[in-house]
Amino acid sequence: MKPIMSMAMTLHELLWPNRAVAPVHSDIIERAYPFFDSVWSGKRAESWYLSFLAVHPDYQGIGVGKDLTLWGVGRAEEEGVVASLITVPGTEDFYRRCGFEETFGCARDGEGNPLVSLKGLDIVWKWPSQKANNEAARFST
Amino acid sequence: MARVMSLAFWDDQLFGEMIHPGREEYPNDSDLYWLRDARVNFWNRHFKFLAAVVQDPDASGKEKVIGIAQWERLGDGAKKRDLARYDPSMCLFLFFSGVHTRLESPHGTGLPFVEVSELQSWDFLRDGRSAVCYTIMNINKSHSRKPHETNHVNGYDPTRAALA
Repeated sequence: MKPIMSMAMTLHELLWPNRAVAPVHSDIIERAYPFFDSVWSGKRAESWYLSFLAVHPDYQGIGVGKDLTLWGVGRAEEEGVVASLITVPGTEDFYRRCGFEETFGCARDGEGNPLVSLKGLDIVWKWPSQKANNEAARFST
Repeated sequence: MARVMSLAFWDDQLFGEMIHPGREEYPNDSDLYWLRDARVNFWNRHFKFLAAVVQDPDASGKEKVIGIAQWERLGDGAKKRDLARYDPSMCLFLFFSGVHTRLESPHGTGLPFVEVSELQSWDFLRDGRSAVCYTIMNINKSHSRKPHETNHVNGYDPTRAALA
């Protein structure tokens, strides 16, 4: 279904163009990923990755984002894999409080990366507990 | 859902300033970016969509999305989720409903398979499918509409048409 939906959305874009977008940057995410996605390899290959988190501005600061974040942290813990995400400036402390204490890699890395002029974009990680690791290993054998 | 994404990333250096420099002139159009992205990701079984909802203060009896998370499973674990595409319930659902209808759930979340929990605090309903929906009860914070949340576009409004 995904390829069909991709084609449908291409048609959708022709019918209802996004007039607010900068055409030169509309696919910048897709162009940037190859510069840094190698960090999800080796022991980091198995991961629950928070692709997007958004909370309505009127409802920020009451724990909604934290609980949506902790869902993936919990799932990663269950499966004995690392949880990961890319921070935006100003969210680093929030994610640290959610357990993402390790920084490894950055979405601005790589020569020619179109995101190089931006700030932040650190890739942060939350490793599962040793207990979760043991249980995951037992399950897989 | 797309509106929440637009508002949350309105001032973001990447999704706001860089990708949507015309967002003040066309305040509803950035919704299209998020809508199309979410529709494609939704059909990728590696993704898990979460939606947080509250009772809509502007529409009695209806719910309003206030938070969205898109989690993606990477690695070999994602392949197990691929197998779930052959879930018979998915086939039945596709047979009886059009794709567009399926993406516009009664809860207005844009997510099918939405389940609403009547919980006093946060909890998660894990059904192994693509979306989980939470209801947040007893929120004391009042909702105030942002200027750019209203419809600034006179006449033809592509976002409304796309979401209809």
